[in-house]
Amino acid sequence: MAGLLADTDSKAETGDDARASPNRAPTDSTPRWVKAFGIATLLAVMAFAIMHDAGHGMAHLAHWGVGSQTPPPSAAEHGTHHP
Amino acid sequence: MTMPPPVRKFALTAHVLSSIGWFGAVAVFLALAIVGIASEDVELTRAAYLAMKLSTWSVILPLAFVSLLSGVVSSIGTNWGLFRHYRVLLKLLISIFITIVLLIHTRPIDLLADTAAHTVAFGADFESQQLMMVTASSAAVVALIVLTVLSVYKPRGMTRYGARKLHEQCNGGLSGLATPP
Repeated sequence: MAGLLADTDSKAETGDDARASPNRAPTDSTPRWVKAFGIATLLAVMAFAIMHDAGHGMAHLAHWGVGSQTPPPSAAEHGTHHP
Repeated sequence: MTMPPPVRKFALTAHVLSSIGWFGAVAVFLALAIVGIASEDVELTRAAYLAMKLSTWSVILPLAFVSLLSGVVSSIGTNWGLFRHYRVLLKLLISIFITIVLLIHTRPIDLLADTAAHTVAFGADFESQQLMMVTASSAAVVALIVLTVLSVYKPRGMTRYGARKLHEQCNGGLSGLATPP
């Protein structure tokens, strides 16, 4: 799957035991680690969003017209053009 | 659907290479972002943002897409499947999320690089974007480490879809289950 160090799908490749088998017996309920992982991910995404917002992330850029090659006022004030 | 071994090995090789490269490139990006916000050396700061734009478009984005695509192919082409195991599903979701965040951040990266190319010093207006680069790349590094941990430790957990598919396979014939592809 997408991500680092792809899944190998045989014991020979992983050197792992039966845990690495894709066809091991399923359990009925959602594993505890999945629930914990989901909560941790949710918190991390929220923290990231808050930090992003705190930095005036995209709103600033929209104001300046991102991609228009127009530098913000402060850059123009401090800058000198290079050939 | 299972792929023949040569195709599976090729997809796996592409996936491992691109994933490791993705992590390394993002780590370098993080270092450049830190230099960009912390360095007193104006020329070094400008060079950092120009390098960040170049690495984003020529290395990080291509590797992210190759990693995502090869991961999907590797999963679909084996008994692991894409939606059968929680960890595979989570890895897919995290990879898609990181790629989307990366695509969103290409615009501020371009802005910083273009500004670096045309001006001598960054004003206070850029602090939020400079900080955003550090925050986003730090989050990406953490997420890529999480993906690696999921890949290596392979925590148990089959989705309902996976359990149903396994049940169907068991009913359809046990021969294909004894040995993974």
